[in-house]
Amino acid sequence: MPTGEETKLFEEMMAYKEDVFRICLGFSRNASDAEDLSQDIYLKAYQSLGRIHTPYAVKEWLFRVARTTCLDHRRRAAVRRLFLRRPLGSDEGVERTTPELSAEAGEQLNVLKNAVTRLPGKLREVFVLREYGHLSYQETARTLGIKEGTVMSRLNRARRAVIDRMKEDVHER
Amino acid sequence: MNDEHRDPEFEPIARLIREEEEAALAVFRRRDFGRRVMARLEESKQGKRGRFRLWKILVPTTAALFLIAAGAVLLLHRARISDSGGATRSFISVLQDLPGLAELASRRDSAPGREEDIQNIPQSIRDGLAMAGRQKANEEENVPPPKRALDVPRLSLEKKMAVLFKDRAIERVLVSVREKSKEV
Repeated sequence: MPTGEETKLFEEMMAYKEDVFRICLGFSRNASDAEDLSQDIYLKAYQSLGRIHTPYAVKEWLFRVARTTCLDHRRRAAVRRLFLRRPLGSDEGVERTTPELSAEAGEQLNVLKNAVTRLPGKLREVFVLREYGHLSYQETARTLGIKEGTVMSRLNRARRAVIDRMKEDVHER
Repeated sequence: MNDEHRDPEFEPIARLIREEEEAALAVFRRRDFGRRVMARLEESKQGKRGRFRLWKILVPTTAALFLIAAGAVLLLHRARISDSGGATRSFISVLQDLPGLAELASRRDSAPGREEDIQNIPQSIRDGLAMAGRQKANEEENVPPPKRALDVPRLSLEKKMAVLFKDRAIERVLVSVREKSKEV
Protein backbone atom coordinates (compact mmCIF):
# COMPACT_ATOMS: atom_id res chain seq x y z
CA MET A 1 0.00 0.00 0.00
CA PRO A 2 1.58 3.31 -0.97
CA THR A 3 2.14 5.90 1.70
CA GLY A 4 0.62 9.38 1.65
CA GLU A 5 3.77 10.75 0.08
CA GLU A 6 3.67 8.10 -2.64
CA THR A 7 0.02 8.82 -3.37
CA LYS A 8 0.93 12.48 -3.74
CA LEU A 9 3.71 11.49 -6.11
CA PHE A 10 1.29 9.41 -8.16
CA GLU A 11 -1.10 12.37 -8.39
CA GLU A 12 1.83 14.45 -9.56
CA MET A 13 2.51 11.85 -12.22
CA MET A 14 -1.10 12.00 -13.35
CA ALA A 15 -0.51 15.62 -14.30
CA TYR A 16 1.62 14.33 -17.20
CA LYS A 17 -1.02 11.92 -18.49
CA GLU A 18 -1.48 13.83 -21.75
CA ASP A 19 2.27 13.99 -22.39
CA VAL A 20 2.47 10.25 -21.75
CA PHE A 21 -0.50 9.66 -24.04
CA ARG A 22 1.11 11.71 -26.82
CA ILE A 23 4.37 9.78 -26.52
CA CYS A 24 2.43 6.52 -26.68
CA LEU A 25 0.57 7.85 -29.71
CA GLY A 26 3.87 8.62 -31.41
CA PHE A 27 5.20 5.15 -30.76
CA SER A 28 2.03 3.16 -31.37
CA ARG A 29 0.43 5.31 -34.10
CA ASN A 30 -2.95 4.30 -32.76
CA ALA A 31 -5.12 6.23 -30.29
CA SER A 32 -6.69 3.23 -28.56
CA ASP A 33 -3.33 1.44 -28.26
CA ALA A 34 -1.89 4.68 -26.93
CA GLU A 35 -4.52 4.80 -24.20
CA ASP A 36 -3.94 1.17 -23.22
CA LEU A 37 -0.21 1.81 -23.14
CA SER A 38 -0.72 4.91 -21.00
CA GLN A 39 -2.69 2.83 -18.52
CA ASP A 40 0.07 0.20 -18.48
CA ILE A 41 2.63 2.92 -17.81
CA TYR A 42 0.66 4.31 -14.89
CA LEU A 43 0.16 0.83 -13.47
CA LYS A 44 3.89 0.24 -13.65
CA ALA A 45 4.53 3.65 -12.14
CA TYR A 46 2.13 2.94 -9.28
CA GLN A 47 3.75 -0.41 -8.56
CA SER A 48 7.21 1.19 -8.58
CA LEU A 49 6.36 4.16 -6.37
CA GLY A 50 8.43 2.83 -3.49
CA ARG A 51 11.50 2.60 -5.71
CA ILE A 52 11.61 6.25 -6.72
CA HIS A 53 14.49 7.83 -4.84
CA THR A 54 14.50 11.18 -6.61
CA PRO A 55 10.96 12.57 -6.62
CA TYR A 56 12.13 15.78 -8.33
CA ALA A 57 12.97 13.75 -11.46
CA VAL A 58 9.59 12.05 -11.56
CA LYS A 59 8.70 13.48 -14.98
CA GLU A 60 11.79 12.10 -16.68
CA TRP A 61 11.41 8.81 -14.85
CA LEU A 62 7.82 8.57 -16.09
CA PHE A 63 8.90 9.30 -19.65
CA ARG A 64 11.58 6.63 -19.39
CA VAL A 65 8.94 4.14 -18.28
CA ALA A 66 6.76 5.31 -21.18
CA ARG A 67 9.57 4.80 -23.66
CA THR A 68 10.47 1.29 -22.45
CA THR A 69 6.81 0.24 -22.28
CA CYS A 70 6.19 1.48 -25.83
CA LEU A 71 9.31 -0.26 -27.13
CA ASP A 72 8.25 -3.50 -25.41
CA HIS A 73 4.82 -3.17 -26.96
CA ARG A 74 6.38 -2.66 -30.37
CA ARG A 75 8.59 -5.73 -29.92
CA ARG A 76 5.63 -7.85 -28.86
CA ALA A 77 3.63 -6.58 -31.82
CA ALA A 78 6.51 -7.50 -34.12
CA VAL A 79 6.60 -11.03 -32.69
CA ARG A 80 2.83 -11.34 -33.05
CA ARG A 81 3.08 -10.16 -36.64
CA LEU A 82 5.80 -12.70 -37.27
CA PHE A 83 3.73 -15.58 -35.93
CA LEU A 84 0.46 -14.46 -37.45
CA ARG A 85 2.32 -13.89 -40.75
CA ARG A 86 0.76 -10.55 -41.41
CA PRO A 87 2.36 -8.63 -44.25
CA LEU A 88 4.55 -5.68 -43.32
CA GLY A 89 2.81 -2.35 -43.50
CA SER A 90 -0.59 -3.68 -42.45
CA ASP A 91 0.07 -2.68 -38.89
CA GLU A 92 -2.54 -4.09 -36.56
CA GLY A 93 -5.13 -1.74 -35.25
CA VAL A 94 -3.86 1.35 -37.05
CA GLU A 95 -6.70 3.77 -37.39
CA ARG A 96 -6.73 4.91 -40.95
CA THR A 97 -8.83 7.92 -40.09
CA THR A 98 -10.25 9.42 -36.96
CA PRO A 99 -13.66 11.08 -36.98
CA GLU A 100 -12.08 14.37 -36.02
CA LEU A 101 -9.92 14.47 -39.15
CA SER A 102 -10.96 15.12 -42.74
CA ALA A 103 -10.39 12.45 -45.38
CA GLU A 104 -7.48 14.36 -46.89
CA ALA A 105 -5.86 14.94 -43.53
CA GLY A 106 -6.40 11.27 -42.76
CA GLU A 107 -4.59 10.30 -45.93
CA GLN A 108 -1.68 12.61 -45.11
CA LEU A 109 -1.64 11.24 -41.65
CA ASN A 110 -1.23 7.71 -42.94
CA VAL A 111 1.70 8.85 -45.04
CA LEU A 112 3.21 10.46 -41.95
CA LYS A 113 2.62 7.35 -39.86
CA ASN A 114 4.37 5.19 -42.44
CA ALA A 115 7.28 7.60 -42.60
CA VAL A 116 7.65 7.60 -38.80
CA THR A 117 7.34 3.81 -38.65
CA ARG A 118 10.18 3.37 -41.11
CA LEU A 119 12.55 5.54 -39.09
CA PRO A 120 15.45 3.70 -37.45
CA GLY A 121 14.85 3.09 -33.72
CA LYS A 122 17.27 5.71 -32.39
CA LEU A 123 15.98 8.46 -34.65
CA ARG A 124 12.42 7.44 -34.03
CA GLU A 125 12.54 7.71 -30.25
CA VAL A 126 14.09 11.17 -30.41
CA PHE A 127 11.52 12.22 -32.99
CA VAL A 128 8.59 10.90 -30.93
CA LEU A 129 9.76 12.36 -27.63
CA ARG A 130 10.39 15.73 -29.21
CA GLU A 131 7.57 16.07 -31.73
CA TYR A 132 4.82 14.15 -29.95
CA GLY A 133 5.89 14.39 -26.31
CA HIS A 134 7.00 18.05 -26.61
CA LEU A 135 10.01 17.35 -24.45
CA SER A 136 12.81 19.90 -24.44
CA TYR A 137 16.25 18.89 -25.73
CA GLN A 138 17.42 18.55 -22.14
CA GLU A 139 14.48 16.37 -21.10
CA THR A 140 14.86 14.21 -24.20
CA ALA A 141 18.57 13.82 -23.51
CA ARG A 142 17.92 12.83 -19.88
CA THR A 143 15.14 10.43 -20.80
CA LEU A 144 17.29 8.67 -23.35
CA GLY A 145 20.53 9.00 -21.39
CA ILE A 146 22.34 10.74 -24.24
CA LYS A 147 23.89 14.18 -24.82
CA GLU A 148 21.84 17.16 -25.93
CA GLY A 149 24.01 17.51 -29.02
CA THR A 150 23.21 13.94 -29.97
CA VAL A 151 19.51 14.68 -29.51
CA MET A 152 19.78 17.66 -31.86
CA SER A 153 21.66 15.80 -34.57
CA ARG A 154 19.36 12.76 -34.36
CA LEU A 155 16.30 14.98 -34.45
CA ASN A 156 17.57 16.76 -37.55
CA ARG A 157 18.27 13.48 -39.30
CA ALA A 158 14.87 12.12 -38.25
CA ARG A 159 13.03 15.17 -39.56
CA ARG A 160 14.94 15.04 -42.83
CA ALA A 161 14.17 11.33 -43.18
CA VAL A 162 10.47 11.92 -42.51
CA ILE A 163 10.32 14.71 -45.11
CA ASP A 164 12.07 12.54 -47.72
CA ARG A 165 9.96 9.48 -47.05
CA MET A 166 6.74 11.44 -47.13
CA LYS A 167 7.75 12.93 -50.48
CA GLU A 168 8.57 9.45 -51.77
CA ASP A 169 5.22 8.16 -50.58
CA VAL A 170 3.29 11.02 -52.17
CA HIS A 171 5.14 10.43 -55.49
CA GLU A 172 4.36 6.71 -55.35
CA ARG A 173 0.68 7.42 -54.82
CA MET B 1 10.98 24.56 -27.21
CA ASN B 2 13.89 26.07 -29.03
CA ASP B 3 13.32 25.05 -32.61
CA GLU B 4 14.91 27.99 -34.35
CA HIS B 5 16.83 25.69 -36.74
CA ARG B 6 13.76 23.76 -37.83
CA ASP B 7 13.62 22.92 -41.51
CA PRO B 8 10.85 25.04 -43.15
CA GLU B 9 9.88 21.93 -45.10
CA PHE B 10 9.03 20.28 -41.79
CA GLU B 11 6.44 22.93 -40.83
CA PRO B 12 3.46 21.28 -42.57
CA ILE B 13 4.47 17.95 -41.05
CA ALA B 14 4.61 19.53 -37.58
CA ARG B 15 1.15 20.96 -38.18
CA LEU B 16 -0.09 17.55 -39.22
CA ILE B 17 1.32 16.03 -36.05
CA ARG B 18 -0.47 18.70 -33.97
CA GLU B 19 -3.73 17.91 -35.77
CA GLU B 20 -3.27 14.22 -35.14
CA GLU B 21 -2.53 14.86 -31.48
CA GLU B 22 -5.51 17.13 -31.04
CA ALA B 23 -7.84 14.61 -32.62
CA ALA B 24 -6.54 11.78 -30.44
CA LEU B 25 -6.48 13.94 -27.31
CA ALA B 26 -10.08 14.98 -27.87
CA VAL B 27 -11.08 11.31 -27.62
CA PHE B 28 -8.68 10.73 -24.73
CA ARG B 29 -10.11 13.64 -22.74
CA ARG B 30 -13.66 12.43 -23.22
CA ARG B 31 -12.76 9.19 -21.47
CA ASP B 32 -12.00 9.47 -17.81
CA PHE B 33 -8.41 8.26 -17.85
CA GLY B 34 -7.89 8.63 -14.10
CA ARG B 35 -10.93 6.49 -13.31
CA ARG B 36 -9.82 3.84 -15.82
CA VAL B 37 -6.35 3.67 -14.32
CA MET B 38 -7.82 3.32 -10.84
CA ALA B 39 -10.13 0.54 -12.05
CA ARG B 40 -7.16 -1.30 -13.54
CA LEU B 41 -5.20 -0.81 -10.33
CA GLU B 42 -8.06 -2.37 -8.39
CA GLU B 43 -8.21 -5.22 -10.89
CA SER B 44 -4.49 -5.86 -10.59
CA LYS B 45 -4.73 -5.76 -6.79
CA GLN B 46 -7.58 -8.28 -6.83
CA GLY B 47 -5.66 -10.39 -9.30
CA LYS B 48 -2.71 -10.33 -6.95
CA ARG B 49 -4.91 -11.29 -4.03
CA GLY B 50 -6.40 -14.11 -6.07
CA ARG B 51 -2.94 -15.30 -7.06
CA PHE B 52 -1.85 -15.13 -3.43
CA ARG B 53 -4.89 -17.16 -2.37
CA LEU B 54 -4.16 -19.73 -5.08
CA TRP B 55 -0.54 -19.77 -4.00
CA LYS B 56 -1.61 -20.38 -0.42
CA ILE B 57 -3.55 -23.47 -1.53
CA LEU B 58 -1.05 -24.69 -4.10
CA VAL B 59 2.06 -24.62 -1.92
CA PRO B 60 0.80 -26.84 0.95
CA THR B 61 -0.90 -29.19 -1.52
CA THR B 62 2.28 -29.59 -3.53
CA ALA B 63 4.31 -30.07 -0.37
CA ALA B 64 1.87 -32.72 0.92
CA LEU B 65 1.88 -34.53 -2.42
CA PHE B 66 5.65 -34.44 -2.50
CA LEU B 67 5.86 -35.87 1.03
CA ILE B 68 3.39 -38.63 0.15
CA ALA B 69 5.33 -39.48 -3.00
CA ALA B 70 8.62 -39.47 -1.09
CA GLY B 71 7.12 -41.75 1.59
CA ALA B 72 5.80 -44.12 -1.04
CA VAL B 73 9.18 -44.28 -2.76
CA LEU B 74 10.90 -44.91 0.58
CA LEU B 75 8.48 -47.69 1.50
CA LEU B 76 8.89 -49.28 -1.90
CA HIS B 77 12.65 -49.13 -1.55
CA ARG B 78 12.53 -50.74 1.89
CA ALA B 79 10.19 -53.43 0.64
CA ARG B 80 12.60 -54.18 -2.20
CA ILE B 81 15.52 -54.47 0.21
CA SER B 82 13.63 -56.85 2.52
CA ASP B 83 12.47 -58.80 -0.53
CA SER B 84 16.02 -59.77 -1.48
CA GLY B 85 14.98 -63.44 -1.17
CA GLY B 86 12.23 -62.86 -3.67
CA ALA B 87 14.14 -64.57 -6.46
CA THR B 88 14.63 -67.63 -4.29
CA ARG B 89 10.94 -67.66 -3.47
CA SER B 90 9.95 -67.45 -7.10
CA PHE B 91 12.43 -70.24 -7.92
CA ILE B 92 10.83 -72.38 -5.23
CA SER B 93 7.38 -71.68 -6.62
CA VAL B 94 8.58 -72.73 -10.09
CA LEU B 95 10.03 -75.92 -8.68
CA GLN B 96 6.82 -76.61 -6.82
CA ASP B 97 4.91 -76.33 -10.05
CA LEU B 98 7.06 -79.01 -11.67
CA PRO B 99 5.26 -82.38 -11.98
CA GLY B 100 6.20 -84.86 -9.28
CA LEU B 101 8.30 -82.42 -7.28
CA ALA B 102 5.48 -81.05 -5.14
CA GLU B 103 4.56 -84.55 -4.14
CA LEU B 104 8.19 -85.32 -3.36
CA ALA B 105 8.51 -82.22 -1.23
CA SER B 106 5.46 -83.13 0.82
CA ARG B 107 6.83 -86.59 1.41
CA ARG B 108 10.26 -85.29 2.28
CA ASP B 109 8.86 -83.49 5.35
CA SER B 110 7.90 -86.79 6.88
CA ALA B 111 10.71 -89.03 5.55
CA PRO B 112 13.63 -87.16 4.06
CA GLY B 113 16.42 -88.65 1.99
CA ARG B 114 14.92 -91.91 0.85
CA GLU B 115 16.50 -93.50 -2.24
CA GLU B 116 13.20 -94.30 -3.96
CA ASP B 117 12.15 -90.64 -3.60
CA ILE B 118 15.27 -89.53 -5.41
CA GLN B 119 14.53 -92.10 -8.07
CA ASN B 120 11.13 -90.45 -8.56
CA ILE B 121 12.64 -87.09 -9.65
CA PRO B 122 11.97 -86.60 -13.33
CA GLN B 123 14.88 -87.45 -15.61
CA SER B 124 15.18 -83.91 -17.01
CA ILE B 125 15.78 -82.41 -13.57
CA ARG B 126 18.34 -85.06 -12.71
CA ASP B 127 20.14 -84.36 -15.99
CA GLY B 128 20.08 -80.67 -15.26
CA LEU B 129 21.48 -81.15 -11.79
CA ALA B 130 24.19 -83.47 -13.08
CA MET B 131 25.17 -80.98 -15.76
CA ALA B 132 25.30 -78.14 -13.25
CA GLY B 133 27.54 -80.28 -11.01
CA ARG B 134 29.90 -81.04 -13.91
CA GLN B 135 30.04 -77.40 -14.91
CA LYS B 136 30.95 -76.37 -11.39
CA ALA B 137 33.69 -78.99 -11.20
CA ASN B 138 35.11 -77.78 -14.53
CA GLU B 139 35.09 -74.20 -13.36
CA GLU B 140 36.91 -75.15 -10.18
CA GLU B 141 39.55 -77.01 -12.20
CA ASN B 142 40.05 -74.07 -14.54
CA VAL B 143 40.50 -71.52 -11.81
CA PRO B 144 44.26 -70.80 -11.52
CA PRO B 145 45.75 -71.13 -8.05
CA PRO B 146 46.23 -67.83 -6.24
CA LYS B 147 49.67 -66.34 -6.79
CA ARG B 148 51.94 -66.64 -3.82
CA ALA B 149 54.08 -63.72 -2.92
CA LEU B 150 57.86 -64.21 -3.00
CA ASP B 151 59.32 -65.22 0.34
CA VAL B 152 61.45 -62.19 0.98
CA PRO B 153 62.59 -61.84 4.55
CA ARG B 154 61.51 -58.62 6.14
CA LEU B 155 64.54 -56.77 7.50
CA SER B 156 64.77 -53.89 9.83
CA LEU B 157 66.35 -50.66 8.63
CA GLU B 158 69.46 -51.35 10.72
CA LYS B 159 69.96 -54.75 9.13
CA LYS B 160 69.36 -53.34 5.66
CA MET B 161 72.11 -50.77 6.29
CA ALA B 162 74.48 -53.46 7.52
CA VAL B 163 73.88 -55.52 4.40
CA LEU B 164 74.45 -52.49 2.21
CA PHE B 165 77.66 -51.63 4.05
CA LYS B 166 78.95 -55.19 3.58
CA ASP B 167 78.10 -55.04 -0.10
CA ARG B 168 80.04 -51.82 -0.45
CA ALA B 169 83.07 -53.23 1.38
CA ILE B 170 83.10 -56.32 -0.85
CA GLU B 171 82.81 -54.14 -3.92
CA ARG B 172 85.78 -52.00 -2.83
CA VAL B 173 87.90 -55.09 -2.16
CA LEU B 174 87.04 -56.54 -5.55
CA VAL B 175 87.90 -53.28 -7.31
CA SER B 176 91.26 -53.07 -5.55
CA VAL B 177 92.01 -56.73 -6.39
CA ARG B 178 91.13 -56.08 -10.03
CA GLU B 179 93.46 -53.06 -10.19
CA LYS B 180 96.30 -55.00 -8.60
CA SER B 181 95.83 -57.85 -11.06
CA LYS B 182 95.97 -55.34 -13.91
CA GLU B 183 99.28 -53.93 -12.57
CA VAL B 184 100.71 -57.43 -12.34
